[in-house]
Parts: sequence; structure tokens; C-alpha cells
Amino acid sequence: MFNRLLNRLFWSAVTLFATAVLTFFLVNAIPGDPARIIAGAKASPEVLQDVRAKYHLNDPIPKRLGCYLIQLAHGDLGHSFVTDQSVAQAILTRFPTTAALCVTALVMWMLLAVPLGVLTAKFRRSWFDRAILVLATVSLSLPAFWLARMLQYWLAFKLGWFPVAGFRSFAFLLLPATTLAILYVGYYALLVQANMIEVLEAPYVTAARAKGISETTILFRHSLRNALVPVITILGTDVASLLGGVIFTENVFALPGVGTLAVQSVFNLDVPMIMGTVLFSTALVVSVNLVVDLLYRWIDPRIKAAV
Amino acid sequence: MTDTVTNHLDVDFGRAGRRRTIPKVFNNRLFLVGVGIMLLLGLLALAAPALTRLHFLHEPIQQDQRGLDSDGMPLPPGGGYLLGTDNLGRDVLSRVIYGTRVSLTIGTAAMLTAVFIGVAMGLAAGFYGGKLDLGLMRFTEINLSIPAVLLAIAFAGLMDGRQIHPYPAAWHWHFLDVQLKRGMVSLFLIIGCVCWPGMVRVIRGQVLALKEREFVLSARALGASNARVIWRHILPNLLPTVIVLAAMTTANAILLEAGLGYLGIGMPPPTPTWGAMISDGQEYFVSSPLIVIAPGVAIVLTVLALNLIGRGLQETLEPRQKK
Amino acid sequence: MKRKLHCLAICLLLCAVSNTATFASETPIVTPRRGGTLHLASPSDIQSLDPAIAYDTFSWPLVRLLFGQLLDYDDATGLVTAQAKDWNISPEGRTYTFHLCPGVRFANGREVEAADYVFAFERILSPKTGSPGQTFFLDIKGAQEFVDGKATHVAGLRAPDKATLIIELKAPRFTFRYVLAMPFASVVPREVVQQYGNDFQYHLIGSGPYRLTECRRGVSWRLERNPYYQGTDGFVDAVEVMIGCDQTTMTMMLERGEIDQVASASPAQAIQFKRDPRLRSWLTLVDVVETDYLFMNTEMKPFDDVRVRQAVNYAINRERLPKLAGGFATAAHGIVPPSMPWSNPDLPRYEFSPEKARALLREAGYPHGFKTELWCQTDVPILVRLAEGIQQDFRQVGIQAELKPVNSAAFFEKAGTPHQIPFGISSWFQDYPDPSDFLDALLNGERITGTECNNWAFYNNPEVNQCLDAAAKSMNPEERTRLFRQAESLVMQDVPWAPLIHEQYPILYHPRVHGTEPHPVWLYRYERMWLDP
Repeated sequence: MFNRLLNRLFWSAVTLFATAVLTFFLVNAIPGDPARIIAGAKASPEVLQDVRAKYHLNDPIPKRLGCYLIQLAHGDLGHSFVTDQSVAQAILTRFPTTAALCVTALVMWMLLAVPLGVLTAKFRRSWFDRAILVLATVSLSLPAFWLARMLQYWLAFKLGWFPVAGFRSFAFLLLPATTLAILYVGYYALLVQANMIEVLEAPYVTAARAKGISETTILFRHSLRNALVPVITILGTDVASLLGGVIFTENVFALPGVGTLAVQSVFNLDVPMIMGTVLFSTALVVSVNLVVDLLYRWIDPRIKAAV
Repeated sequence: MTDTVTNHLDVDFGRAGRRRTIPKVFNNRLFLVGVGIMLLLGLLALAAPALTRLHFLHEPIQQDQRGLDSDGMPLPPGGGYLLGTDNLGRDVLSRVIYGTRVSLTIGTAAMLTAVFIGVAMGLAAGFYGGKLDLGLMRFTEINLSIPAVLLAIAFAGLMDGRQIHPYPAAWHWHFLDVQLKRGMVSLFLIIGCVCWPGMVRVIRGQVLALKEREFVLSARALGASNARVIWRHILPNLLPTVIVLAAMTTANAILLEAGLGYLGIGMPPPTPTWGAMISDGQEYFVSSPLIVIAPGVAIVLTVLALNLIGRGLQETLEPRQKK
Repeated sequence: MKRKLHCLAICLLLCAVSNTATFASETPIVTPRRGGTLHLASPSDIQSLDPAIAYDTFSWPLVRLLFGQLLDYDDATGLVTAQAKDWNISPEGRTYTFHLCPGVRFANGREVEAADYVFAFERILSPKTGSPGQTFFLDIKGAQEFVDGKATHVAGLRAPDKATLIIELKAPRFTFRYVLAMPFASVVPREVVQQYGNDFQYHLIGSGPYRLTECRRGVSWRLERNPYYQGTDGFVDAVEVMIGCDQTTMTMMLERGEIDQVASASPAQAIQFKRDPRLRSWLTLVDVVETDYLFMNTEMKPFDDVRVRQAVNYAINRERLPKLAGGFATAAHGIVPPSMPWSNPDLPRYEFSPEKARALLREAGYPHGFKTELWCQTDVPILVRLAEGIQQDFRQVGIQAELKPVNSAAFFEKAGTPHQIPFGISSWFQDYPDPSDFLDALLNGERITGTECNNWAFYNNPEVNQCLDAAAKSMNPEERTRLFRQAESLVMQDVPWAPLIHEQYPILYHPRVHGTEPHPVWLYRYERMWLDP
């Protein structure tokens, strides 16, 4: 178990390192002189020289990469080209918003996906199952930005049930979370269904039925828990895709989260911020995966025995 | 961990196996609906230039003064414009149809790129195993950890037309100069390079399972080379999985392309793309909602069709009973 | 004399244009109510509210809430004293003497001194600050030496006592007075700036009616009352600016009452409001003194040939362009907008004529037209719209102009460098109400520097340069008018530019906001706005 943990930690670190190197090369191919972006369009040549010296923009690429990696090891993600604030601080102040949004959405869609998945597994091949299947497929075919805009227009603007945009209180998160929930409920309902089907056909379930245990107990006490384990694992790997939906949702609802920061930094050509947000997102995905992986081996006794 | 694409085939997907499965697929209603929608869209997309020449469809790129009212605002549906016009007087319906061409092209090209890389990686990892497997899977894991959308946005956002020199300055290898312009090629490459990690694990799992099948083992025993085994036995049996993955990947690629277009970093104007149409049309939403609704519905329909095809195929290839 | 008439004309023009705000709102004799919070929004973050750095139409009204200046404009383009009690200019026009109002305090309680003004102006000139307003202050005697590092202080700035400020110029300059009304010329507390250095932007202290209490970059800014402010301006208790929502979201929020103003409504949204009888009164039109134009690099082929440039001018259908701005614009036939004082009503005109364009191109040796790149700024939608519209006009005469959208930072960098951009579209807003702000800044050949300048056409006509230099030195309004008009006529014969339109800004206000009368220079003044309970 301990070896496993060390192994996973090591590879997580390698992932982060590789991401850092990759993004470094990516963003250093940008157009527009970074010095001019920092100093402003109307800066004098002397100011530009100062800026270049301060940010070591004249050094050769390998040296700059090395400096950056050393900085990273100390937890310093650099300073924004545009506002000169610390990248790490900017991301950390915005992270709670994104986290709150994601957690709220997650609770919403799980509350809907799990019962739907169980019921459609139970009543397989019925019209109910087919209908839910179509709805679920529609849900994962919706473009995030379009859905967000539609919901914002109809529910917030026209009907006034929610505020239109911003983040002044928790109520402002409800509509964005609903958007995200609608986008992911389909995928997770189908996932729960698939896993439930598999579990329901397992020998121990047949045995339980033979023993006379009620269907409900079989469904919820025995099968669901086992079916949910792979779902939680998927959640782990899905964080990366979830961040994609978050970006567009935050954009439309003007939420001050990491998603809007990432998009703004790309449009501002704010190199350290771009790298910081990509690295942060990757670190997030890696950490969630790590936690899920450890939890998984702890929950599922079969795996533990195998290890 | 359960793979979402389970595959416990007990037939060799050589010619004999395919003959039996293909009719089965057509009994699946989901698959049929999906294919139906795709055929319709594909036909429209292909026929669009001809229809325009025959004046059944308006020009999608030509700005038209007649398409705007006296204030310069888009026209509502009617009078030759079935879905109204957009902010530059162009017919929305024709732009949505031409947008299908762009989306399908980029989606398919991106899918092919992703499938090519994904299958190559999965195949190599599963078949050869050992250090190669370990290395490739770690590389895939690294790529999986970077959020695809974020990476695509970063790539596309940096395509501002500048020349890059991917060689040390002293070498002067100017033939390697690349101009990072935003266009179909750079877009489908970006999307393809961002989508491939998702399929490697599945392919690898398949290849691992296939390696132990009787027909592979017997071929091996008869002295077939690796290349022959891969080409004649493994790849054809990978085909069903790959097709399912291809359908889903095209769906995701189209969604991603629309997202990039929405942010303004997709195909440059005046090419009609759904994402850009939605973003351009947002401010006219109150007076002309169709400018935003129509491309959105088009995206949903296309992606839905592809997902239905993928799902239908998955259902057909999945056994009804487990042993 | 002429100037007064022009001011009157401008006022009448404004009253005629800004139809709704002054008439649809309640009777003008109502006393403004103090209290409430003004909610504003902006799609992109404010770069800085530091008066030395801020240089755009959204930041300036906010900077004016935080900081005070010596002079200000009245309700039109006339200069009046603001935080100076009185001022005078020496007869030859070189020395300005100001006596400061007593009792003006900074937000930290300290009284404003003349030495603070000296410090503020030296800060603008200092290369370390990197202020875009530096050029405006170079007319001060000793400024260039200070910038070059040869002097530790600017010789022409003197504070003989706490309430007297003397500014001496190198040579008489009529327009310098306007510089002192710009937000660049705000007074700052010298010990605070020295303490924080570059971080001053997070600890802004000024002598305006408000102070900055909260600054969450990219998220929101909050301004609250300056307890030491003595003046009558500033009716609302607080101003909050929300960052990050796009145009569509902002208009939805405005209608729902979540924000009070949409400062940069798009033409489409403005028309939607104009058409709706319930919402019509929410719309205010402001005549912006600006020009959207195409510039042609006279140093690059094929634009080095005047016939090609004239062909470009003939090829554009200007009357169609205002529609692209939703009707909130007028076609431009000259460099200086007609709403600017002393603009020239008789200029050579280039009426839309593709045949003339084609003929000129043939003459210049391009019978089949030519290919070129039209550069534009992606973050200014109206310019992209104009570029797309003109692209079509060009195709008709054989000019294949491929659009090259880049972000503003990259655009400005390339445009100011020689031999980079052959053909581009941009806009220029007045910094102050004087034609030199357009002609001198943008088309004077002597202002071309090696690395950057605003003369993006790299136009250098000695005759024009002469007129502009003479006008700069003159203190006589009639003579200046004559020289500017002459210069503009010459420019419009040479056409290094193709002027396109003069924009009008549609601004949307929620009905509960009052005091929203447009201003020709500032566009709107938050310090005059007040809210219903």
C-alpha cells in the first residue's frame, strides 16, 4: 500500500514536471513582444529594456526554462505580465468560486443521475429506459456556452428566477451549477446504469434473490455501492473534462473563477498566467486522481486482496 | 475499473464475423436514427454549393444590404429568408448549412488525427508491452491530466499569425519556418492532438484481450510475423471499438470546435461556423433569437446523431448475456 | 469670440442629438439626492486607476472620481478652474501661474500643496513610470533634460510657496492649458507614492470626491466617499465596478436593475432599446469626438503612390458604413471630426466611385488591382465590422484585402514600427478639444521616431509639417484655425488616410440614475450622477 502511494506520488510529480515543460515551450511561441505586453503599448525603449532585464527575456531558452522550474519548485508561479500580481495568489483567490460551482453542480447531477441510473438498470428495455437514454444523449450533446446562454436568457432574464450574472452570494451560483449539472447528468446516468446492469447480473445478486431478499434491498444495499465505485473513479479522471464545461459556464455568467482567469489570460497574452492556470488545473486533476485511486483501493476489497 | 466500452467478443472479426454483425446493427433504432440524421446533414452539406448556384440557397458569405432593415438590424424570418438574417445581412439558414460543412470537415479530420495517434499508441502499448507500454501509458496519463479545452484554447489563442522558428537561431533553417495562422489545418490538428489521450486506454485494453485469443495464438503458432498478426487479426478486430470511439470523438471534436469558435479563436471570419455564429449573434438575441438558436440546434443535432451512432454500435456489439 | 460661438453650437448640437436623456427625465430643478451605490460593469479589467497610467475612455471618468486637477471643463469645451482658485498666462504665452484653492485635502487628510503638483508632473515625465502621458508634458522647460537624466528636477516647474504653482514652457504652446485638465495632470500625495512605488495603484489616494476601498483585480473595484472632500460633487455613497461580463450579459443585467449603466453599448443593443417604447428613454447618445480611419503606409508599396491611395478613397462607399455602427455614426470626409472646434467644412471630397478607383489603379500600374493585408484589432468589434464591410468594397475594384485580426497590444507595436503594417484600420479619440490633437499627433512627419510613433501612415509632407508647427507656436485662435484648415486640405489631397466614420456612443442608463447628461470631452461624469431611493 505504501509503495503504491509512493509510486503514485512520484508519477504525479513527473506529470506536473512534464506539463510545466510542455506549457513553457507552448507559450513561448507567442506573437507580440512580451516586454511590450508588460510595459504597455506606449512604453519607451528604456522601459522596455528594463522590463526585459527584470523578466530575463533576453536569456537563452534553456536557462529560462531552468529558472522557471526552480521557481516552481519553490511554489512561485511568477507574476502576471498585465497586472503584476502574483499568479499563485490570483489563482488561489479565484479557486474557491470554481470549487463551489463544481461541488454544487456535482451534488445536483449525482442526486439526479444515481436514481435514474438505478431505475433504468432495473427496468431495462422499457420505454422509460429508452426515453432516458435519448434524454441523456441529448444532455451530453449540448454545447456548454449555448445552454448557459439559453438558461440565462429564459430563467434569469425573462422569468427573473435567478440573478443574471456575477457572484455576490450563493444564490448566484445556482443557475450556473444547474447548467453544469444538465451537461453532465446524462453521462453519469448512463454510467450508473451500465455499472448497475453489470452488478445486477453478478452471481451474488442471483444468490441474494434466491435467498428471498427484497428487490429494494438488493438494489440499494448491495448493488448500488458496488456500482458506484467505478463511477467515483470516473469522476476522478473526469475532472479534466469538467474544467472545460466550467470555463464556458463561468464565462457566460461572469463568475470570478479560474475558468475566466484562464480565458482572459490567453486573450491578454499573459504568459505566466496562462502557464499558471494550465499547471494549476493539471495539478488539480492529478491530485483528485491520486485521492480517488487511493480511496478506490481502500474501498474495494477485491482490489486490495489482489494487491 | 469497468471500461465504458465493454467488449467480450467471441468471434473473430474477419470476414465471417462481419457478415453476421452488420445486419444486427441495422436493427438498432438508435443507430438508425443517428445515421438518418447524419445522412441528411451530410447531404445538405455536400449539396450546399450546388443549391446556392441554383439559387435555392442564399450566399453565405456575401454581405447583403437587402438582408438588413432600415436600421441596419437583421431581418426576421420570412420573405425568402427562412430563418431570418444575421448582423451582416446574410441568410441564417444558408450559413447554418454551410457551417455543417466546416464542422463536419474539421470534426472528421480531427477524429482521424486523434484515432491515428490513439490507435498507434494503444496498439504499441498493448501489443509490445514491457517498457514501451509503461512509457506510452505514462505519456498518455500526462496528456490526460491537462484539461483538453484549456489546452485547445491556449493553442488556438496563440495562433495570431506569427512566424515561429522551431530551431536554434544560429542554424538559419528557414525551410522549417511555420506560420501559425488560424485555419482548418491548424484547428483540426489542435483538436486532434487534444482528443487522442481519451482512447488509448480502451484500445490498449482491447489489444491486451485480443492478444490471448485462440485465432491470434494459433496464427502465432503457425509462425506469423508481428506485422502480419497485427494487420490481419488484431486491427480488424479492433475495428468495432475504433468505430465507436470514432463516432464519440467526432462528436467531441465538433463540440470543441464550436467552443473555440464561440470564444473567437476558431475559423476566422467570414467563414460560417456555428460557434462564431452564436457568439456574433448574442447581442441580437432579443430581437432576432433565431441567430443564436438555429446554430445551437444544429450543433445539438449533429453531436446527438454522432453520439446515437456510437451508442447504437456499442449496444449491438455488447453481448446480451454474459457467460 | 469665435470659440464662444462654437461652444454654443456644440451645446445646441448635443441637445438636438441627445434627444431623450434631458427631456424624458424629471424636471431639471430637482435637488440631487445623496446616497446609494452606483453599480457599473466592464467586460475587460481596468488596467489601472493610477492617473499616470490610465488612458482609456472607461478609466478616465473613474480616475476623475479619485483625483483632482487644476482645471476642468464646464458643460461644454470651455476651461474653468477646478482645484485651482485662479490662474493666468503671461502675455507671451510661456508662463502659467496657478493659485491653489485652500482647504483641498487628500483622502488621507493631508492638505494639497503646490509641491505635490510638481511631484505629480515630474512623475509623469519620469521614464521609470512609463506613463503614456509623458509626451503631453514635454513642452515644459527642462522636461527633456529631466527625461534624459541630465537634471534631477524639471526647471520649468516651481512651487514658490504652498499655494502657488508656476509652470514655464520651452516655447508658447496654446494647447498646454488643455493638458492640465487631463487626468494625467492629477495631483498625488508625494509621500504615499514614494512609499509604495509601483504598488501605488493598489493604494490610490487622491483629492477627488472618492477613494478606492477595494480592488480585486479582474473581479471588482469599489470606491467610497473621500471624507475630506470639500466640494459639492459626488452624490452617490459608493461606486462598484464589476469586471468580466460580456455585452449581452450587461444589457440583461441593466434591464433587471442589477447594474446602472452600460457604458459601451453595441449599436445592436442601442437599436433594440430605441425600438422598444418602454426602454427608449434609457438610451443616451453621446457625440464622441473621434475618427475611425484606414491608414496606408506611405513607405510601403503599393501605398507609396498617391494615386493608389486616392483610388482606395474612391472605392469606399462611406454612406453605407454608419449602418454597420447601427446608425450611430456619421460618414467621415476629413481627419478632424466636425464636432471639434475649428474643424474645416470645405475639404476635397472623395465620393463613392468604383470607376474612378479602377481608373486610378490602372494609371498607377495596377490594372488588375493588387493583394494586401488589412490589419485590425480583434478587441474592438466595430473596427472588425467596418473592416469586413470595406473588404467587400475593395473586392469590387480588384483590391484583395485579407483581414489580419490581432490583439491591440500586438497591433500598436507593429503599427508604430516602420515597414510593418501596410494597411490598417484604427480609431483616434480626442485627448483635448483642439485639431492639433488629431493633425499634429497623427500626421506630422517630424513626429516619426525610429521605434514608435502615432503617425502610422509614416506620412511626411514638409508643407503640412510647417503649417502644424506654426499653428503649435501661435497663440492667435484665428491664425491657428487658418493653419489647421490649410494643413488638413493638404492632407486630404495626399490622402495617407481614408477617413471612414465618426462614431456616436450609445450609452444605456437605468431610469433610477440621474445626472447623465453627456459631456463632449468626458462623455459622462459620475460625480454628477445621483440615484432614486
